[in-house]
Amino acid sequence: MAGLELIAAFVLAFAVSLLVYAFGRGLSGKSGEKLEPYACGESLPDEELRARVHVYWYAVLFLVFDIVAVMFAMTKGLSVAWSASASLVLVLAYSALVAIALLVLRGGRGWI
Amino acid sequence: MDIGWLVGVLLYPGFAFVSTLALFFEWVDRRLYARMQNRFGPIYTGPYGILQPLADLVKLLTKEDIAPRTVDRALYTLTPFLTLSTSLLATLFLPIAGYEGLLSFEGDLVVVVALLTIICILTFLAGVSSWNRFSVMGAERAAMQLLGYEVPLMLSVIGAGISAGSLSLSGVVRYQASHGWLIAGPGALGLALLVVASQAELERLPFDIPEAEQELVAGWLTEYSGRKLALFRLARDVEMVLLAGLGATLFLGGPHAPLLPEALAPLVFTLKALAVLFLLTLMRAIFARFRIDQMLEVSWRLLIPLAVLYVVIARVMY
Repeated sequence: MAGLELIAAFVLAFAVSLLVYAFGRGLSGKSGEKLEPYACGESLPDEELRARVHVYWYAVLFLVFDIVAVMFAMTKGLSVAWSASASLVLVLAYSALVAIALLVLRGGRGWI
Repeated sequence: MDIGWLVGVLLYPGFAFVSTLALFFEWVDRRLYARMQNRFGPIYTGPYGILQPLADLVKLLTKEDIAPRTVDRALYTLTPFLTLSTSLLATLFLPIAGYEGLLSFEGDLVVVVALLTIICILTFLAGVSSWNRFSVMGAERAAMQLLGYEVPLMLSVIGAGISAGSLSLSGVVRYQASHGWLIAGPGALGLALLVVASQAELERLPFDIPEAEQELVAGWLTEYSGRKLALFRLARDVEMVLLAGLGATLFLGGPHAPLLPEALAPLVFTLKALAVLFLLTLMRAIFARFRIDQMLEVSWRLLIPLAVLYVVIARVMY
């Protein structure tokens, strides 16, 4: 039931954003120059622009911490599956892991 | 799903209420910020300039809607809608009109955090799909910053959940109603982490690196204009309500206040969210922009270890 409500709420939210968009209709037409990409008044050649791979390292790092955080949450949330002391040990083990990971990542690559 | 729920989602305490609150928060933020700099801020539109954010929004909505010929059209067009609807959706979880939000189930804290992450990804996609060098560079910076600060934000939210023994916002509120606010305890650290991370999520000073206007024009927003820009602006304000509301809910007792009836919940909630907003505004007025390396340093070397420490303390004390 909660899932259905979530989807319905998202559809409604999307409809509202469309409504806001439709509320203000563009008033004037489009001239050719305005369609050029912004370039500070210089004429720069068109080129394929890509985000540097560098950025994706942060995404990977984020994913690692993301999973750790969810594990943190689950040790408490799933108290049925884990006894209190076992979940505590798990949390401490994970934080030790994070500490080690941070220490390792500080050297070497130099991206944090 | 009945009519009452539908009205709740669309009007009060759903989208219409939250959007109004968002524009009100922007006005409060701008006025406070201006006063801290010895300026007046908006004063002409409506009493004390309270209608200025609405006027700005309407102005942008009526402007010409330009999509440069180089953009990746599908992504470029879709991201503003998805950003606004995702942030609006996330606010439905906030317990504004009572101890429970319109959407509420065990584990909704994780859903709110996941929605915030989706907003980060949409920001990156918006910049990259613009095919403009300023946008792409802004998007790179935004991805670095938002992903880095998402982690402490998430850990502080989860730490609050652990302290309260529940992974739902209403559970945390109920716990605080009977055991006192979480800020009186290790939750103070949690709130501090949440406020700093929120500031970075909102890309406001000192974390406005992704749109540093002296270097990058408007960063990932450079190619957006008119109605699409209006959607992003509104989404930003809604996100401000969401993050301030999250801080108020998790650490300041949310809609609950001692001695006051539950009917006053919206007022109590708004006042507490305004208190968090005050911290955000104060931070914006005090600090100058960080360099990129300082921004990364603060997140990965300072905030994340502190956040892990907070979660461990919360777990040990539980």
